[in-house]
Order: sequence, then C-alpha cells, then structure tokens
Amino acid sequence: MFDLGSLLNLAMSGITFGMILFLLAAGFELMFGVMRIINMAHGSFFMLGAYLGISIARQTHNFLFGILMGAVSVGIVGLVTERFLFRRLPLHLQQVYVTFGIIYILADISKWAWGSNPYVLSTPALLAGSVTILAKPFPIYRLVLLGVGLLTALGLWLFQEKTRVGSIVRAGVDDREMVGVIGINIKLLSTLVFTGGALLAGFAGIMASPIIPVLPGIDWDVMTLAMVVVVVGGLGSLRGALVGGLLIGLADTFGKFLLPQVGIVLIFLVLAVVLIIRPSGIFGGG
Amino acid sequence: MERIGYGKHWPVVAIPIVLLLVFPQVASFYSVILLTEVLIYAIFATSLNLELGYTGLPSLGHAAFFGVGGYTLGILIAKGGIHNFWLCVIAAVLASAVVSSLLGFFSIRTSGAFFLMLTFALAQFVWGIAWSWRSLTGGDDGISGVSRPTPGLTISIMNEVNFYYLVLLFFAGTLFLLYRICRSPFGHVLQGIRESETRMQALGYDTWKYKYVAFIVAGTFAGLAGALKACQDGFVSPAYPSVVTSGMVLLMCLVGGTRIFLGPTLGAAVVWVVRSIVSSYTEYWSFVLGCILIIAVMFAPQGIAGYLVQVRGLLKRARAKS
Repeated sequence: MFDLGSLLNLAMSGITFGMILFLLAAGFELMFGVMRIINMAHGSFFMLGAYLGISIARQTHNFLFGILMGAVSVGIVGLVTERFLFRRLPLHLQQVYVTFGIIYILADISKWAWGSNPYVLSTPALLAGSVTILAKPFPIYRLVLLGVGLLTALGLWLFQEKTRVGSIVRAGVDDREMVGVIGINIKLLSTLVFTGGALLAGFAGIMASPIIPVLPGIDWDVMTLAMVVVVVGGLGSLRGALVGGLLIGLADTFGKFLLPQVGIVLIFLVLAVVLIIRPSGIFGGG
Repeated sequence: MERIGYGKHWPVVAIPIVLLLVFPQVASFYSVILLTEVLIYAIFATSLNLELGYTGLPSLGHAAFFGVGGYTLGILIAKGGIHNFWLCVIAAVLASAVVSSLLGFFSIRTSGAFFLMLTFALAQFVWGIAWSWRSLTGGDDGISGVSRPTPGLTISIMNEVNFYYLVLLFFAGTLFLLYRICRSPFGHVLQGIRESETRMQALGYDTWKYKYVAFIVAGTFAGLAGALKACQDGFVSPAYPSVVTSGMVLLMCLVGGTRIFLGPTLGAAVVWVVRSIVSSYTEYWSFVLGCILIIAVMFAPQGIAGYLVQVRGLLKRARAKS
C-alpha cells in the first residue's frame, strides 16, 4: 500500500488538484488585490463554468470549444455583476454580502437548469488514456492539467511583471487611489480585473470537470478550499495562491486516502499550523 | 446605538411579553409551531448580532455552533439514551462553548477579510465532519429519533403549546442576558472596538480578549438555539451547520437591523415567515433568500428596525413642532 509508486501517484493527484485550486485562488487574489472585494461567489463561478462548458461541449461535440466557452461565459457573468452590482456598492462589507447572495441565486439556477445528477466532461480519446509511472497508471488528462496550471501561473506572472496593463494592476494592488490620481481609469481597471478573475474561476471549473463530477454543493466545497488556499498562502499574492494551492491539494488528497471518514481534518491541521506560525499566511504581509 | 431604557420605554418590553404569553391560547396549532421557530431563530440571530452589530465582526459561519448544539443534543438523546432535558441542553451549550472557543482562537487572531474567510471555512469544516463522519452523525441522513425529553415537574413538552412556553422562557432569558451584556461595560468596549479598534488598543484595552469572549458568548447562545431546534424537529441533519443556515441568520440580522438590539428578533420573524410562505410554493428557497439578501443590502442597509427608529424620530420632531 505504501510503495513508492502509489505514493508518487497520490502526490501527483494532489498536485494536479492543487493546480485547479491555484487557478481558482489566483482569480480570487486578483479581484481582492485590485478591488479589495472578497468574492464569496467564486466557487459559484467555478460551478457555472463547469456546467456551461460541459453543456456547450456536448452540443457542439467540440472539447476545446466547450472549455473556451465555459471560461468566457463566466467572464461575461462576472462583467455583468461587476458593472451592475458592485460598482453601486461603496462599502466592502456590502459587497461581501452581495456576493454571498449571488451564491444562493446561482446555486438554485444551476439546480433548476442542470438538476442534481453529476455531470462529467468526457475528454477526447487523445487525452483519455493513462501513462505508466513507476508501474502505476496515471491519467494523461491530469498531466495536461498540470501543464495548463503551470502555464497559467507563468502567463499570469509574465502579465504582471512584463506588460503595461500588468504593471497598472500591480500598482492598483499597492495603492488604488494613487493609480486613479495619475489618470488611469480605475473603474475600467476594476471591470477588467473582475472579468478576468471570473474567467479564471470558470476556466478552473471546466478544466476540473473531467476529473471532478459537477453537482449541487460543489460551489461550497471548492469555495471552502479556495478560502483555505488564500488564508494559507496569504492575501493578494499569486505566489501564495500557487504554494497554498499545492499544499491544500496535497493535504486534501492524502487526507481522503489516510482518513476516509474525516479526511478534512488534515486540511484543518495545515490551516491551523500555518495560522499559528504566520497569522497572515505564508506570503501575506505583516 | 439606540438606547432602550427600562423606565420610559417599558411598553416596548411589556406589550410583546403579554402578547407572546397569550398567543398560544388564541392562535392556531400551526402558527404556534411557526412562532416557536421564530423565537428559536431570534435567539440565534441575536447571538450573531453580538458579533456582527456590536463588535463589528461579520461571521459568515455562525451556523457551525447552531449545528454543534443540535448534534450534541441529538447524539445524547438518540444514541446516548439520556432523557434528562436540562442535562442534554447544558451539554449542548457547553459543547458549543468549547467548539467556539477553539474556532474563535483561530479566527479572532485575524481581522477584516481574513476573518470573513476563516469563519466561513471553519464552519464548512464543521459541516464536513457532520456530513462525512457517518458512524457518529449519520452522515447526510442525519440523526432521527430525537424525542423530546421531559424538563421535569411532570410537564410533557411533546405538547406543542408547552414546548412553546419552554422556548419562550429560553428566549426571554437569552435576550435579557444578551441585553445586559450589551449594556455592560464589557458591551461598551465591544462597541468601541467596532468603531475603532486601534483607539481601544491605545486606551489600553486588550481587544483580542474582548473579541474572543464575544465570539464564545455568541457561539454558546447559537448552540442553545440549535439544541432547541433539534428538540423541536426531532432530528438533526447537516443542514444545521450548513452555509445556507449561516446565510439565513446573517440575513435575519441584516433585514432586521444590526444597530438595534431587537433588530435581529424582528428580522428573524420576517425572514422565517417569508421562508415558510415561499417554501410552500417552491423548492427554490435559496434563490429567494439570495435575492432578499442583495435587495436588503443595496436598498435597506439599516434594516427594518433602523427605519422604525427613523420614523419614531420624525414623529417626535413633528410633535415637538406642533
């Protein structure tokens, strides 16, 4: 049971799940960083992306188009909510309550539209098989997921460090008012960032759907894990999202394996240890 | 903070008490059950408001303690075979106090955005344990067969009217205690923390301790509410510590008004009656809950009680003019 092959297999599963958590948390961090908004509905965006993407992929028989549209349509939902709800609310706490309300609304709309049966995105034959690593089969799709996660991390890093818009975003994280003062349209920036964050959540959802069945309640489940990732990694830091995602992905996978009934306890332990040592997360300031 | 003293405003307290005492003698069987639920949720919402309205700590996971109270009572009665009402309730309250002091230890260390996220995540852990630890909690089936034990004096609380009076007793006791806490020097420190924590620290208060105690007191009374609800329902399920419950109790506070002591009680009545009506037409209660939450936050940030106080102020001014 504890040979090297199984251990490696579990670790790889944990890391790929961690990549999904990273995609989710990265969007959340981006929104918080620039807009100081705590988007509690991020898990709902994840779920919506998965449902919409699967439906579109099934209709068009096109895997890649489904993935693209799953992400884009959630981006549009994000655009609309930012434009019509959040812009009207001056207080951060009000915004949090509203995102909380959005969760309930999207949960019931999804239940009404897709029912409560689990949905799984079937992958094309090319990605459906598995490769053998140390005498254990490992699904190819998970390897793809690993690559996509790392590429997204690299892309986000390049975007933040090397592009003009990225440097505006970084400036917005540091001092929002000052960015407005030097003549940058902060409202447009907020809309862009919220749309981008929602798009990332939808992307995470549709990318996860071949390995995690989508069904009612998954919005809360992934939201909880995303919160833990952000708390562990530290707010407003992409590095934190990556490291936190990997840590929690591994804790979740090993927890379920070691303690099938109460696997969640392992995640709680990681969270507790980090909070005792560093109350504002591994990469959090202060 | 609106001040409701004992002297001048005695009708504010006396009239509702008389109405609540007479209610079961004149009302239908169904509405007695409904009002019992309202009173239980009023205990729950008022306990949350000690954090939310008085200390300025918006907990997104208050249902965790409601769940701990409910499950403790349920497990003791259905699995432990203990049929002493007071023993079970005291155990449930103690269990919620212990769990809230544990979870509070982590969440009070943080503030602002972190506090919101942590209370949410920690409550989800409690829910996750209730959901997956089948041998103890019955998993998603929950625990059934939580028969109501007798509270002594050979009074059976299987009778809904007797149970109503018992809950009313707890409701009155809880509100009295929480009111005294809010008006005590301790409560004033909490309000000071809400307005400016750094100023309170500069004044020499160890704000961490005050917030921690407020968190535990709030969690303890939430546990009492959970135990009473489990008693009433005869079963406990993972819905007790779920986010839907957390959101509902938050909504009760926001709809009623967090800056007035009786606001959450008013909110509990409004939200629970609306819920009962909506649930009889559709299964999509969550959708309605979300819509009310957004509308309340966007258009009525003071809550109903806030508007009532404004109206009273206007009336007073009009009277002073004439």
